Order: sequence, then C-alpha cells, then structure tokens
Amino acid sequence: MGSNCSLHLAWPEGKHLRNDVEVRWSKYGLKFTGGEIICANQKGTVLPATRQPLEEGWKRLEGMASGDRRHGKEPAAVEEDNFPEGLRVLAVDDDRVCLRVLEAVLRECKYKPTGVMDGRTALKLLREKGEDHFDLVITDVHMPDMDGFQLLELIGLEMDLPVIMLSVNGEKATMYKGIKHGACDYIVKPADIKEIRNIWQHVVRKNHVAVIHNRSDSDDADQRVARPVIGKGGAKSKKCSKKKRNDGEGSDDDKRGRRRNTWKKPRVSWTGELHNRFLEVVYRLGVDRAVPKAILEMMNVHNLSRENVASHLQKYRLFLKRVTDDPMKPNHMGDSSESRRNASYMGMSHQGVLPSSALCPCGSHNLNAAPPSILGPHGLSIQPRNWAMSTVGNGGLMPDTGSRHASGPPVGLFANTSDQPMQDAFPRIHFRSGKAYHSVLRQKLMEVNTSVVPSSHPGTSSVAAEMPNGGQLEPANQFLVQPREQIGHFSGPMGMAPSAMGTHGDTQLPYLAGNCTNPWQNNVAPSSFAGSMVGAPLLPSSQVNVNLPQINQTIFAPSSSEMAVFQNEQQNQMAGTNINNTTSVDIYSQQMTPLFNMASNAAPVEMTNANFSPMNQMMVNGGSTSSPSLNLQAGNPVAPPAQMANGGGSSSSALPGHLDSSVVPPAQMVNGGGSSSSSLPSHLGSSVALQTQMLNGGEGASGILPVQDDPARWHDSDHQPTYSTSNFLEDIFASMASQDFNPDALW
Amino acid sequence: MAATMKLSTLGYAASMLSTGLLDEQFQKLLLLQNKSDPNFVAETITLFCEDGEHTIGELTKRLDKQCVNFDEVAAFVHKLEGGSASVGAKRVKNTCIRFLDFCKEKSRDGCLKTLDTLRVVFYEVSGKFKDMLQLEQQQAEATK
Repeated sequence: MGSNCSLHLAWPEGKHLRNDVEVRWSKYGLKFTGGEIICANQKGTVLPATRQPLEEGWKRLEGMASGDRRHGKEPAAVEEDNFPEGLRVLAVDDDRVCLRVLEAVLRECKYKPTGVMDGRTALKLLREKGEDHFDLVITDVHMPDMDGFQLLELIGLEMDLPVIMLSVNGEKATMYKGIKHGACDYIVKPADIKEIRNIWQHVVRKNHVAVIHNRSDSDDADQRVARPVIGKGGAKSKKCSKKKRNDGEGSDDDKRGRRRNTWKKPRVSWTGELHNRFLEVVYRLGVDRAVPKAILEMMNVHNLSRENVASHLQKYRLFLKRVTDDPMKPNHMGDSSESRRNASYMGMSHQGVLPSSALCPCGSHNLNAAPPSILGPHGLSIQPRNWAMSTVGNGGLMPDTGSRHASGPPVGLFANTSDQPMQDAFPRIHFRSGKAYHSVLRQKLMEVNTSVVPSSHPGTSSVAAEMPNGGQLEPANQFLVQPREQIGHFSGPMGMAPSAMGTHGDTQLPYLAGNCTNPWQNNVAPSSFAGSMVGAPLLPSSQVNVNLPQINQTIFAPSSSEMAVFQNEQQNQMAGTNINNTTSVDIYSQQMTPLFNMASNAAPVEMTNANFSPMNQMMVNGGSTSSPSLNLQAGNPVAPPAQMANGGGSSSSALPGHLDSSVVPPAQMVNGGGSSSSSLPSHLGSSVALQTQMLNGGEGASGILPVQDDPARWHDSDHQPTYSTSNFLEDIFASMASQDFNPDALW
Repeated sequence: MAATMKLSTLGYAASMLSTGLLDEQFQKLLLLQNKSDPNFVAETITLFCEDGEHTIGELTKRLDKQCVNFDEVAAFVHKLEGGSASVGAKRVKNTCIRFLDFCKEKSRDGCLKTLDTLRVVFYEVSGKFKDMLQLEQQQAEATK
C-alpha cells in the first residue's frame, strides 16, 4: 500500500469470521470471502463493528515496527520493508545458556524473542496469549518433562504456528523425526545467525498457504501446497486435515535460504511411489486415453493438481519418445506396418512390425499405445500390454513371420497374444531399482510360463526354436525344454520363456528379459530342443534365435566369446543355423529370443518354422557376422531396429527368408555391446526393454535387457554355452541393479 | 570502555581459540554483544560455568551409584553439550559427545572415565573464562 493509501485493511493475523465475512489476514495479503469488507484507514479509524480486531491489528503492527513509529505511519511499510523485523518468536529450551544465546541471536535478527524453559510454560503462554501473539516457535528437542516433539505436536494440534526444532544433535534420525512430527525446520545448535535470519520464511509460507487456499475454493487443485500425499499418517496428517495446508512442512527443509517473498506453488515431488501410481493409471487408461484429468482422477492423490499431472505426463511422453526413438532408428522392418512401431521398443505396444501376426498370437497389436515401460529411473514399468502384444510378432520381439506363430514363445515377450494374460502376468511393475524389478519380473515370468506352456512339443528339433508346427508355441515348448537341459544354469528369467513359448497362443514373454534362467529349466521338459537351444530358450522358433544373437551381442559384450560358442552351438542345434559366433550375446539372445524376436535383421525376418537356421543366422550375428542389419555387434549401438538378429554372417538384414517380418525391428535390440540402450526390441515390451538396457554389453543402461531376473540368479560362473544366457542375464541384472538410473537424465 | 573490555576479551579468546579450547562459536558470541546488551558475553559465560559445575556435580553423584540410571546421566550430559556448543567450548562439547556414547552403551566405566576427562576439560575452559572476566572487570574498574 502506498503511503497515500487511504484504505488500510488491518486485521489481526489469522482467520476471523464476522457477520459472514471470513477474513484471512497475513502480512501479505487479505482475503475476504462473502459478506462485506470491513476496513479502517491508516489512522486506525474503523467501522465500529470491527473496532476490536482492528485495534489489535494495529497494535501488532506497531509492535513489529521497531519502536513506536508505527503509529500514524503506514503499516504497510512494516509489511513490505521491515518484515520480518519484529517477528515474535517463542523460544523454548531447558538450558539457560542455550536459551540466552538463542535469544541473543534472535534479537540480532531484529526479532522479538520470548524465552521459556519448558514446554508446559510455552503451551501455557501460547494458550493464554493466543496463537496470534506469536509468529513462530523454536524449541529444543531434548527437554525433561515435555520434549520438543510432544510440544511440537501439541502446538500443531491446537494452533497453527510454525515450529522449528533445535538441537545439538544433528542426527538425521532425529531431524527426520522432527519433520515427520510436523516441524517446519530443524536447526542444529548452536543456531547460526544466518539460519535464524531465514526463519521468517516459515511464517510467510504458512500464511501464504492459508491465504491461497482460501482464495481458490473452486480450484484448489492448482493451489494445493506441497507434495501430493499418497498416504499420510501421524501427526502430520492431523495437521494436514486440520489445516489443509501443512503438507509442505516436510519439505520446508529444502526451502531454507530461498527467498520466498512471493508465493510460489510448491513443487510436486514425483516420488517413486507417486510415479508408479501415475504409470499404473496411465497404463490402465491406455496411452490414448491418458489425459491429465482422467489420470488425476484415477490416481486419487491429495494435493495433486491436474497441472502437475499434465506436466508430468508430458515429461513422461517425452521420455518415452526419446527412449523409443533412439534405438529404433532405422527401422527397417520390412514391413511397412512395422515401421510404425513406435519406438518404444520398450515394448510397448508397438506393433512393430510384426508382419507376421501369426507369430504372435497376440495378434499383433500392440498394445496400444500403452506407454512403454519406462525403464529407468523410474524403475521399470512394464507394460503388460506390450508384452502381449507387440511382442508377438511385432513387437519386435518376435520376428515371427506371419505364419509363425510359434514364435510366440520365443518372443517371450509377447508371449501372449492377448493382452490379458500379459497383463496379468506383468502387471505394471515399476521399480526404482532394477533389482526389484528383476525379481518381480521373474516371478511374473514364472507365472506366465506356467500358464503358458502348453504345448510342449517335443518335436521340432531342428529348429530349435522353431516351432515346427505352425503352432507357435510348440517349439517353444521344446524350447523350453531345452533350456533346461542345456542351460545349465540358467535359472532364470528365461524360465519364463519356456512357458511362454510353450503356448501357442500366448507367448508370454518367454523370458521376460533376463529371466532366462531357471525358470526355463523347470518348465521345460526335455525336449528335443534341449540340446540345441541352449541358450535360446526363448524362442524355439528361429525367430527367437534370431533375436538372440543379436541380443547376445549386445548384452554380452564381455562374454562374447561365450556367446559365440553358444551361438554356434545353437546354430547347430537348430537345424544348422549358424549361430554365429556371436559371442555370448548370442547365447543370451537365444534366451532372449523371444524377446527379441524382432531383432535381427532389418527386415523382419520371418522365421519360418522350418527354418530355423536362417534364423539363427540372423540371430547370430554374433560379432562376426556382418549382419548389417543389426548392428548389434558391438559397436553398433542400435542395430537396425528390428532386425535384431543379424544372423551371424548372414545377411543380417533380413532374416533370411523365413523370418516373417514378424521380426520386428523394433527392437533392434541387440545393441552391439556398445550401444546403450537401444536395442530393445520393441517387441520386448517393457520388460525387454529393460533388459535390453542391460544387455548392452553391460554398458549403458540401455541395451536389451533380457528378462530380468534376480541378478543373483545368474551366476557368472561359467560361460558355457548353455549357461551363458543365464550368465548373461545375471550380468545384466547386476548391471541393472547397480545402475543408477538417474531420473534427471531421463527427464 | 567497552572497546577496551572487548579487546582484552578478544585477546583471551584468541588464545583459547588457538589452543582449541574454544571454537568460532565464541567469536560469534562476541559479535552478538552490542549496545543493548553489553554484558551479554560475560553473563553467558558465567552462566555456562555455573551450570557446568552443577552438572558435573550431578554426574559425579549419579555415576557413583552402583546402579546407574543412564538416561538421567545422558540428560545431564546432553544439557552440557548444548551449553558448551552454544558458547563455543569445543573440547567440552566433544567430550560430552563421547560421554553420550558411553551412556548409550550403558558402560559405567566408560562414563566414569569420560567424566574425568570432562572435569579436566571443563575446568580448564571455565577457569579461562573466569580469568577473562576478571580481566575485563579489572579493566573496567581501572578505566572508571
């Protein structure tokens, strides 16, 4: 208010209800709702009805101004210029030395301290004089009788004052406790003057929040303070429910030192938990229908505004886009349809190429747009859908050639044709830590596997992965079996694969990336495959193989040799396909095959049942082959999308013949060791994606992560061909788990 | 007058600081003193010395028993820790921290040993404080 202002609204701070007028006054503004405005001029002349409060208000202003000058002067000046001078602080400490020093510091900051030596006296004073008599309370934590936390809670319950904890103990646990009980801040003794100078911010904050909350009744969401609270508990919630504005207390610590003269909407902090919920909702809604409003409603989180959600969603979308775009650069999928896959090899729904719908029982549809799983900082979110879908065939996981469905299993990822199963199998899983993801994933895979594996088919031998029968999964089964035998240690993740493969229709992701370990083993009954597919559990069909090699490469960068071996072996097994020496990656990829169906070459390779070999070739593109298409080989970060399997040597580009385009590049998963990320064959779906990441030769996060399983499961021990996959997976998991997904990087 | 006093105090403080008896908190205390409260430092450190002595007496009494109530002991030590931190008596504070560890462990021996150290350290600083105050007072009287 300028000096000429003739209208001065003065009210004691706080809330007053008079004649249907609700007035909230803080030093920063006045808010009125309903009724009339009652005011007084600068000189203090007020309408009679409100004389009382106004007088008090005046007094306060006077008190605040150092000295008496207020009288007759513009009170506004106090607010604007002198605040926080005169801040009335109640200091509580049982030690008189500390109390004295604290009071001295407060005085030095031009505040008005009142010192008491115990909590009871403090409460008494507060109750008697009214909470409006003080602006802020600073209390020691350790006091006989009533300790600081108790005082804090009582003040919080009875009145709305900011409370700062003070203690010589700077332990995090104590600080945490303080914040949890509702403290605005926690200062370590001896209180430094710089810190004390800033305490007024807590007062402002509280007031502002109150004002704003009152102001926007209709649109609270936008004005809500602080973090959205998914679940509150304890003292804080009492305060919150009571005041509707103390949510931000916990975060006050970070605000220290920052000038907060103007109201700024507190930032919503997207914690892992919150983000998970967000993802969950988004998935449920479906990418297409995930609009902020709907998301907000479904999330059902307090203090979250539509805007918060909208901006978060946008970030998420950008993230997805970035992630998917990357690996999938050249999308060669022969299929035009596939090209469309959207990147997300994360498996999302890309339909990816799947020319061969046959491949995936899932029909090739990708799941819709479901947002790809977000791997990474936010943990893994696996989109169930993706699995199902796209993987099949398109997703890239399965190169599945149209006719083959079989690849289903290999695809592992897409194991199931229907979303449903997938969805069940892979519920949204968001993890911040890779580890958790692995285990969940594995679990899921197991579930899937078990459910899936149906047809085990012993037969197909030659093609290891291939499913001789059109059915898709059959080969898978075999495949499954195989793993068991061959894969010695696989324990894991791939386990799923088997099951995935098994069923014809639903290729559940065979291995959710990485889980190539045991699960398979268990599930798989010895089958003819066994021998051959050592690594390739996932994809009995060639498709799988195809992918694998690629993946292997990527993933296994380190153990390439093993892979190579493996691959070769596989190749042999598989109807002679030649699995190239791709290194361990190959092996792995075998496992991953399902996942990667797509991988391999640029062109969707069609994996014909019959021929597995081509597939193998494709897959194997082990380091050596040229597989142009996928450059999985180390060094190629992102092989041509989709075609993962660069068959060893074989023309990588398109999987020889047989692969139906189902191999959807999306994944380009196999990233040559070097690349990071990318190649997650999209079909892999999120899980794969995740995996892929890891796979990259262990390097970057990206890469194809085969089904993840507990890293622990993977033992590093021997890189035998059979084992390699598991080993590989372990590596992946390990690297995943250890990876520090930096959310910032993602966003 | 005030300036003189301050100087001598500062001199004393400087020596205590350099020996590690005091830390920068004491300097801050000196800065806090101003016209409106000219005796702030003097009063504060006097209070510190008094309270500290009292605390040490209580601690000695409590630790003398066979059955020690470590919580009570810890409460006293904690108080002294806070006070010493507030005036900048670094060694006293650090000794209190160690003392608290022994209290947590419920080690009577540890506590007793630390109490001895505490006694030594405390009297060292409180002695110096008293000397400083005396010096100031003498100076004040001399300049009167």
